[in-house]
Amino acid sequence: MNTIDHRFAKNWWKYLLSILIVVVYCLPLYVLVTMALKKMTDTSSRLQLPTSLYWGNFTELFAEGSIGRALLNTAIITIATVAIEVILGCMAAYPLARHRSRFNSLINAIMMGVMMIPPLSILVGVYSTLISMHATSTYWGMIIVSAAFGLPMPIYFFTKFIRTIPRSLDEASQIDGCNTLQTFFYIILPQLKPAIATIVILNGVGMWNEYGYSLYILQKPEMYTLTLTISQYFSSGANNLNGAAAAACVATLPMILMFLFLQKYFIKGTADSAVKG
Amino acid sequence: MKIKQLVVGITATAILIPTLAACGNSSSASSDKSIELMTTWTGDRLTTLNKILKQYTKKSGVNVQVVSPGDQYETVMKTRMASRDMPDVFETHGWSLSRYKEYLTPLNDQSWAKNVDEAIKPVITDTNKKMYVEPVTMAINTIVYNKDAFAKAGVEVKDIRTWDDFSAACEQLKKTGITPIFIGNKDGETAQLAESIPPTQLTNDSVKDNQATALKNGTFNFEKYWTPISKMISTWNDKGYFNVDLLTSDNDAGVKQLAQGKSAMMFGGSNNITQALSYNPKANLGILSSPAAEKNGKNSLSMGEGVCFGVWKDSDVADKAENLLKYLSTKEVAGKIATASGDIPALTNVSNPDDYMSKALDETKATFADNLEYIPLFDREYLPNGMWDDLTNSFTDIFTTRGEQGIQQSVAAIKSAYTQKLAK
Repeated sequence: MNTIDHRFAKNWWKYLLSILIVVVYCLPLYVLVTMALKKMTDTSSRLQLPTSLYWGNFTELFAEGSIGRALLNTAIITIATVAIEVILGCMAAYPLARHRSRFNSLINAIMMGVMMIPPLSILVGVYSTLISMHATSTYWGMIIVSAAFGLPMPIYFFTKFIRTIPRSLDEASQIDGCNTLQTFFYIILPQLKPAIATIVILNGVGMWNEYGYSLYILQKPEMYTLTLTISQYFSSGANNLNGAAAAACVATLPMILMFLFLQKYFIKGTADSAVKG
Repeated sequence: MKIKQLVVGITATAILIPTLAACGNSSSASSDKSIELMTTWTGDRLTTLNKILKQYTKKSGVNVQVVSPGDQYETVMKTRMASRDMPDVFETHGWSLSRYKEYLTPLNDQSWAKNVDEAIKPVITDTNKKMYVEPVTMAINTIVYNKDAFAKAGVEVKDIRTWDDFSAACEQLKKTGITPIFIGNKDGETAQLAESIPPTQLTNDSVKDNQATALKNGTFNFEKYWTPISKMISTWNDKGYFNVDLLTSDNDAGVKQLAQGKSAMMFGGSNNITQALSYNPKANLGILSSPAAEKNGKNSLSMGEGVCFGVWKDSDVADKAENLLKYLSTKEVAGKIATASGDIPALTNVSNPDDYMSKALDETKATFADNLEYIPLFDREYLPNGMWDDLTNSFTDIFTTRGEQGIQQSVAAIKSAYTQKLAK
């Protein structure tokens, strides 16, 4: 006991700091939940707990029906985009990592260059192209644009990761009779699991919360994603913060649940990729 | 084997989901001939509009696809303007002439055109006498106030005839512990001051040294005429008439305070009343006209476009769109839109006598009778296109730098922006 007390006395500031960090992180969620459980006419402080729980914001949200469709739209776009990014990303990264030619250096430089372009800076060009392709308010229009902007990062990340895998593994598989594709799928891809987990987390959460491009590409209400549905609570003349908070609670729930169920894989994945990368 | 299955699974998901989704979305092809209508409305107001449009579809057989980008309306419209892909029907939110004219069909020949209220006509008609929108409502953009707060401080609206009277009223309100004026500058709302103060000093008919022509032809002397405006606001600030968190608070916070009677006045549109009533349905609110610069001058109300719909000139369904506007102009439908918007009907065949806003306007009209002038929105009428943010920046200088220096910075900022934008 004495040792524990002594350790606590010595490190008390670390505990205090940890508590402060937890409070800072939890405060927005706390405000979100309390706002969602208050009536619009309740003008009390946003930090104050509701005097009585008001579920009307949630019932209105589900009665209106758009949130279910938005969840489905967001899930479709997120899963498809991340799947494309992971598959194309690791397949493109393999030759880039293994063959260090001038051409591949150029490809790498282009990838880096694309990463530096703020996506919204070329919005008008992208939007006009999508119009001519009849791709606005379609899943595939949103997915190809998101995957195109999202791909450079996985390619860069997987390239760096594959370079840490010993080349002798490739050589051994080739001696055993594997061709390049078999080497990639049987030898390299299993090694990439931690890196894939990292990309799924980073790009998956990014896509779930995407707003900038979906605002322009997905204009029909039946195509709205969660962020667009939440934005419907705000207009230049009127805001419904309580309704928006209820919608945001529902929007964040799948991500929180996913993280709770899969956290051991994610944490392992990020830790492994950090060590390897 | 496991990894092979994983790869096959992921690939199949990536390919199948968009394909299946596209199948599910096949209805979009059949709705190609529907009218795309873009609105600034969201929430309950959007629900009202959707109901109206469903009725129209039932009646006419024409589908109307409503697009509502919420508070990002302007940015989405700018992108669509740049891409030459405008909605068939869209709201012009005060910019039918200065921003959207080149994209719109003139609508003078429409059956409802003869019913457009004289108060809004100059605002939506260009120099060639062409009108590009159907004004379903007109917005009053002056000052909204809490009647209970005024009563508590003993302030009488009828006594506020000049800006000196207005200052005296602010002093009384402050003494009672009520914040006289709330501005939420997080949303750039200091620019709202421009719709009330400069017209009364520079451009209203009752102004002796009228500067309307000078502002339009670029010969306006900012040092001489704008300095008193900045100075007056600076004095109010020094006297503590504004909310202390003016620079960081948002408009919504002001609306809540107005609804509760903690703040007495807000510069801005009458839509603040509608929003305040959603926070406190029992709030006792009214419309305050801008006082005159001098004694014997007239009070004024800034009238602008409320809900105004235009038709894209290159629309494939222009005829259908014009028929839709005809439907929206009917007495029953336009009345519903006016009530939902918190604006005043802009068509003479439509009246909403029992509506909260109509009553508030009637009260103001009755108080000032012939001493009331109806004026266009100052920034739309007398300043070059795109000056709203510059007005915010200019007025913000007064609050960030106190005293003479802030006044000078404010005048220099507005002059510089005006000169640059006029030269374009």
